[in-house]
Parts: sequence; structure tokens; C-alpha cells
Amino acid sequence: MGSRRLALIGVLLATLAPGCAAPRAYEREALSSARMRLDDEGGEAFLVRGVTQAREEGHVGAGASAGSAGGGGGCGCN
Amino acid sequence: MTLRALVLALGVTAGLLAVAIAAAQWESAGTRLEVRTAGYVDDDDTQVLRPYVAGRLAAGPVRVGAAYSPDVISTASVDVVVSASRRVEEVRHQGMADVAYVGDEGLVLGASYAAGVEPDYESHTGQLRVQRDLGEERLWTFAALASGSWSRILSVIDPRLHAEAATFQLAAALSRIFDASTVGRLSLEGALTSGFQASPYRTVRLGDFRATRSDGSDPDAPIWSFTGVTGVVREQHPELRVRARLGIDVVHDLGAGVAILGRVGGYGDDWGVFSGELSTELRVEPARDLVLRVGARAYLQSGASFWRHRYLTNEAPRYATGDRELGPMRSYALFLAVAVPIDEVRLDARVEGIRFEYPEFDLLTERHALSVIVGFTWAPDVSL
Repeated sequence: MGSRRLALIGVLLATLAPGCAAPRAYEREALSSARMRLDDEGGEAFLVRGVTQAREEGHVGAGASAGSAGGGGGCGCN
Repeated sequence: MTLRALVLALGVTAGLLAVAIAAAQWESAGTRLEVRTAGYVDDDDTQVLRPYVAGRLAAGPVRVGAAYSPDVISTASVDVVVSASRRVEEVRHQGMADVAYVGDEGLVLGASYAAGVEPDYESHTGQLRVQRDLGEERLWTFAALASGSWSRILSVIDPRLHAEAATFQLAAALSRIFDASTVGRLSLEGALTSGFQASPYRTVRLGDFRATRSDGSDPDAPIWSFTGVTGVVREQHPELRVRARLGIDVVHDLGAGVAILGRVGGYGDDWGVFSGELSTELRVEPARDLVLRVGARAYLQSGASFWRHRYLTNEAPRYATGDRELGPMRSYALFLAVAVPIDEVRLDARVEGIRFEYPEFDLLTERHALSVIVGFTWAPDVSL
């Protein structure tokens, strides 16, 4: 239970990390288009992990990418 | 205590912002505001509303940011009605503050603090991270982070319960530009958690019991009734857990403003849970930053070694769980997302449908959910 909640905190930490989630390729002209991003943006990654993938065990935390975590509560509701 | 934690989180956030505002001339490049809201409903009688707001200010090489996300839940899911027998409504708060230094050759040094506060749960997490480009051509990028968390677990129905847990996490990722149209990343994460990891509310029924759901004809009857139960014990999980996950992500530009993303991930832990996930996403960008995305994802998971369909014993087992998500499960998702830039603002919307399957959990073998996320991002330099 707690690990899912903590993992979601980890994703929250990753949402503001400037440049941490993405390779510098994003800042180079040839690969700088929005369609070439490896990660969802901070808020979207956080909400997808916390809401729709909240009850999966197969996540560790925010990782070095901005998306791999879960969330959920003791009530077993989400 | 929970109020103190919230005040602490807000204080750190305000303090960092105040210091940054006083110290520098703000620049538009790197400054942004992001506001989103997610809504979730499923056929297990659960509704979730989760707003998210985040801001980041840039001053020279320094970035200072803060985020806040409350979580409003209303549920009468099967987990709730078999234990509490009534609807649960709860508000959770999560906040964080972040400061980072952005240097030459892709160097990023960052530090963050986050807090989560609920009526029966509280956590504090600190994180350090580093990122740097590698090689003369800077085709490689290395990123790593380390974090430590401490949690306090309480129970609104048992004031005697004061449990704690601590987690340490390490993660590293190596990204590579393969050519002018392909980018990939390999990531590895590991975590160790020690302490209380069960639910303070969940109980486990012993014996080869049979569960029957009420047809609603008797308003005084419980929603679920059980026969053949030989005993009831509190959920008990091991106090140590070691987890690891490996992930690979690749994006390839197909030309004509179309790109395809592929993700594959594998996870395992010493509780015996193993999982794999596979997802893909097609992206169409007919104009700069106007992006339509269509994606699909499949997730498969094995059960923990101590998870049982039935605990066929009259004595309390060493470990027992009533958590269906620690058992075998599968989920399948489809989503559609669109991003529309208008000057310095970009509007975002995402709709996702998910099917969950719990083949060995006979109180709820499947669940269907719909999630909608809408929001906007404002960036004065238009580099969203």
C-alpha cells in the first residue's frame, strides 16, 4: 500500500525536473519536435501514473525518466 | 502531525520561490506554468478527481519549481464494502519543491523535496539527481537519481496503530541519439523498502469460503456475505521489499510529421511479483506543436509468492494478503490525446479507457475505467 503511495510521490518529484527526463536530443533542432519526446510531460505523466495505472505493482518510482510509478490508498479504492 | 507536514511542505515551497524571486531577474526561457485536472470513473463504484498545478521559474542557470496536487476520492469499491461496508470519501494532498542548476554540456544538478499528507498517511521524500551529456558529439546522455523516503501509517479506525516505513531508491538512465530520426533510452531502477507495507484496514478470510453478492432485495443485508470462513486475520506483508525495473523507450520519426513510440518494461521483486508491459503510440504533428496521439498499452503481472486465492488453513499464516493487486492481474488501455498551441499557451486533452482483469480474485474479476485529463501549459518563451 505505502509503496504505491510513495511511488506516486516519486513521480511528482520528477514532474519539475528540467531536462532530467529527456535526452538533450530534444533541444537539438533535428529532433526537437514535440512528436519526438520520449516522455509525457510532467503533469500528464503524474496523472496517468496516479490515476489510471495506480494499482499496478510493476513500478518502482520516478526513475531517471518521468514516468514509472503508482499510487493508491489504504481504502483500496484507487 | 499531518497539518504540520502540510505546513512544512508549503513553507519549503514558498521559501524556495521567495529566495529565487529576490535573487535574480526572471527570464522567460525556462519559465512555465502547468495546470491540469484528471477525472476517473470505473464500474467498481469509484470516482477520483485530481487537479495538478506546477510552476517553474528560471533565473540564469537556476530553475526553481513547485507543484501541488490534491486527490479527491469517493468510492464504494469491493475492497471497501467487504470491510467498511460503507462509502469512503477522502482528500489527499501532495506537494513538492525543486531547485536545479543547468550548466554546460547538458549538465543538470537538482534537489527536491516532496510531502504527501492524508488523514491516515504521511510521507516525506528527498531526492538528488544529476544529468550530463557524454562524448564529443553529445549523442549520449546519462541521468541518475537517489532518493530517500519516510512514511508514517495510521488508521482512522484503530488509533493504536502507528507504523512506519522507509524507502531508498536509485535510478539511472542512458539515452542515445541513434540518427536524425531516432532516439532511445535504457533505464534501470531499484528500491528497497523496510517497514509496514500492508493495509491497516484490510483483513483476510481463511478457509474455502464462498462469497455471495446481495441482489438488493433486502436493504439491511450486507452487500457481500460469506459462508465457510474458518477465521479472519489482519493482512500481513513482509517488512522488507526489494524491487527492480528495466525499461527501454524508442521514438522514431517516420517522416511527414508522423512518429512512432515504443516502450517495453520488465519488473521483479523479492515478493515474487513479476510484470511486463508493452506500449506503443502513434503521433501526428501537422503543424509545429499541434500533436495528435493515439496509443495502446498492455500490462501483465504475476502474483506475490504469499498471495492465495484461498488460505486453506485454520491457523494464521505468516503472510497473508487480501490485496487483489498483489495477485495475478492484467490491464489493457487505449488512449487518444491532443495538444493545441495558441501563442504562448498550449491546450491539452487526453481520454483513456482501461480494462483490468483479476482472474483469480472472484469478488471482482474485471473492472472497466474511463479517465479524462484536460489542462493547459503557459510558457512565455513558447518553448513548451
